[in-house]
Amino acid sequence: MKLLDISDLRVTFRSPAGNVRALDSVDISLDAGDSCALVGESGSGKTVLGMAIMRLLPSNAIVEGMVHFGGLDLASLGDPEMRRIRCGEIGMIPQNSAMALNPVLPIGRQVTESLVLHLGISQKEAEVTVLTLLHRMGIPDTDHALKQYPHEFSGGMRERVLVAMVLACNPQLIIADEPTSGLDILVRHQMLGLLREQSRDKALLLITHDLGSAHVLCRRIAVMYAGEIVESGPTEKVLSMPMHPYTQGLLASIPSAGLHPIPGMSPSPGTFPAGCRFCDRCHSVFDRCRVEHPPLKTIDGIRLVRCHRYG
Amino acid sequence: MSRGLLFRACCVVLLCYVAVAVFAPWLAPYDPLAVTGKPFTPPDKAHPLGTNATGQDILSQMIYGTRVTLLVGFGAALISCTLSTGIGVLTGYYGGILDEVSMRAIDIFMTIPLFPLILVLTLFFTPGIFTVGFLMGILGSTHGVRIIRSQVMSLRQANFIEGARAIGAGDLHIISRHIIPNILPVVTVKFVSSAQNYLLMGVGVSFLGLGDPLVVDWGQMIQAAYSSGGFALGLWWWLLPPGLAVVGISLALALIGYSSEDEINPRLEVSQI
Amino acid sequence: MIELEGISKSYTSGFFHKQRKTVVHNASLAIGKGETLGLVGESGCGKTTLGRITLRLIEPTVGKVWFDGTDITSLSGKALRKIRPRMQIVFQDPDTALNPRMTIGDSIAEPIHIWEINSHAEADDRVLGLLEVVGLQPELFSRRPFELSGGQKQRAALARALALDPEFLVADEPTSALDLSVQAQVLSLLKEVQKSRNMTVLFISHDLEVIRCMTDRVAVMRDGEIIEVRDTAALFASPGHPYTRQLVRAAYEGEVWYGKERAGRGRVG
Repeated sequence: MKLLDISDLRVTFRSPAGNVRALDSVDISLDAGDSCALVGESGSGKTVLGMAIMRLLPSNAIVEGMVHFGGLDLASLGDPEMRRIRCGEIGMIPQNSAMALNPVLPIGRQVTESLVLHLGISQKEAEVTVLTLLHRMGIPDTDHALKQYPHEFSGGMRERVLVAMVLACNPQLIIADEPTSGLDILVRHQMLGLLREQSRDKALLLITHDLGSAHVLCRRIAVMYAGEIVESGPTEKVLSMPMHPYTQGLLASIPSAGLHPIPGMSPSPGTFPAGCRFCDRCHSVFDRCRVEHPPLKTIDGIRLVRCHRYG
Repeated sequence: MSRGLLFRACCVVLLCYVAVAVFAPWLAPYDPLAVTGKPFTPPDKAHPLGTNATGQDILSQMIYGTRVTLLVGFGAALISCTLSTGIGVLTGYYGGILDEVSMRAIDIFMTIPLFPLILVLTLFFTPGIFTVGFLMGILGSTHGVRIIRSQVMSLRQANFIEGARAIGAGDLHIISRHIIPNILPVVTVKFVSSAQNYLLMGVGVSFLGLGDPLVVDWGQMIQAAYSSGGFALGLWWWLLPPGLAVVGISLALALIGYSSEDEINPRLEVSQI
Repeated sequence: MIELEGISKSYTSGFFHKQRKTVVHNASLAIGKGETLGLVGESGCGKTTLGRITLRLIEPTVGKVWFDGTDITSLSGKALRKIRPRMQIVFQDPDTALNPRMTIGDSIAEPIHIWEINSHAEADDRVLGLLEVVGLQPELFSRRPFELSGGQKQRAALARALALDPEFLVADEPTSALDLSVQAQVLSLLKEVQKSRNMTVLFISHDLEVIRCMTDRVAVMRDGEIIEVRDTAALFASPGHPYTRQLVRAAYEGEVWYGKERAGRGRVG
């Protein structure tokens, strides 16, 4: 049985301007110990996907489809059970470290909070566990660190504290939302090392637009565009031999590949064209692409592509 | 009730008050200071709101009183906002020793409660409601300076201000074209809340009898009603109208401030997930 | 063309100005005409401050800045303003680079109105021309910043910087806040503009990959000091200073970049 099984997930947002479909028919599955990267740009829907799994979307979001975790249908769970899952079973490392920590509470309190709430142990016992955890994270002077406040830490240290908070309850699945964006090179390097080490025996879902970190951390990769998955497969293969024109364009637009930009702009949710959503920007578009929306096809048994070029 | 509707409704109410003040001579049936009837008469055909202790028509007094009350309140707010914007912009933009000295001076001023200060000062100056308004404006401006100054200081760091300096714009250009348009929302909201504040303060001052006894305004009317035994005698037609008028405009101003938050600020961000 | 000589910048705080924090220490740089010099370092190393000092948007505590033979650090306010049209800057954050209450057209036209006595019609024509140069549709002329995407705002900011045809441009992390493909668009635009106008560019970034493909020479900064200045290709092939070596190796191992360079390196771990 798969640890995480998402099938036909669709997310629509209700807005005064009408309903907007942000995520369309997404299928993802992860075994325990597996790792998958969701790669895409703003508007691709990858953040929405992460939040849909955690059931953290705002109230105007309509979620359809199935999200199964460890055999449980997450949509059917009540709030208290979902909260327990959110901490103990699925851990989400949020995007913006500066805003994710409470500025008026010392670090020690924040990290032990989840342990105290979910395992029911006392503050003192939690602190002991946390001390070892922080030490593993490479945070120096851990006794003193427990009493310090977020603003006394550098950005890189705060990221580690966040990772510590998430790992404190030993979740089976880690969802990391843009863990390396905005980080300096050296800090990013340390963060990648940290994530790689801590996710060895857990399942990892990495949401990012940083292709490098996808390559370092994940065995599989799924490229998202305009709310759907357009290509997926083993990371090494997809990045060295991309099949979908968007993936090819993305790889060609990297500075060291020559900075060849993809013309045009990603369509925002609600303005997706009929037919293939990438047709306006594709360099090898057929007439068929503008009219018929391509389904996801399996190639060579392990790769999936959503493009008319492949049949 | 949606905010837009509330905003418009309150503006209409405010405009009614202003219209009454402007067209007072045409609307009031009598001269407010003229004795036109027997004292203490309840409302009747000749005097829709009755007469007061001297026999003056209360309705006319109410109508003319609108002028004074509004003038004092808005006048003081205008003085106060102009002054605080000016000082706030200069200290926030230039900083340095000017800023430090001004802020210490303002800190000292702010520790003195405004209302008692006004009372004390009017005892030394010639008592007059317009003088009071003027003083309120000057002294009350200290409260607004900090708000505007901090807005200006945070704006000054914004990249587009540096960009304006980079293209060679002078300070005057930057202040007038970039800083002031962007602090207008704050200034407007402050103006509305100041007006409400000073209006109530003005009414309070004349209620305490420190205004000009010859100038009719709502505070003075309430005071006269009170000292003539209006409460004991049950002279509701004398006590209620000015009181309700004050509450009415105060509420209208407060709700304008509340409901205009969306209208005044341009949408600065469009959030997307 | 541009020369920085012994620049230091420190900030003092405290009521009696007792605490001193040095952000830039004894930095010296030279940028030749038509050259693109990269300034790279981690956050807090002082590169942004140094970039602004180059335009005298921030005053150096010590040191001189020479622009095309003129010592701009000794110029008076008025004389400095006169030189400003020749040197411009593009900022990192597209959200605050433009006045939210002005239309795009007005923002781009502003430098033109300050310095030249064009009629409004002539100025508008020039703005439309600039919009075309940066690849924005003419309809955006009358839109406000909040209606544009990050990439579009950044292009508009670039159009504004180019309005007076500057000889020198400081690009302060212009694409750090943008998506990958948008970054490619803005950067290739920048490259094109630089080439066609033979502009001198100071390109500030913390992203080594971007620096590598956008610059001719690179200066590495750490804790306020310039620790190495070399030709870009040479710096990446064989970095001299141990800190630079650390940066380059972290970039390679973190797989910051791809392309043909990756072949033969394999995956780490």
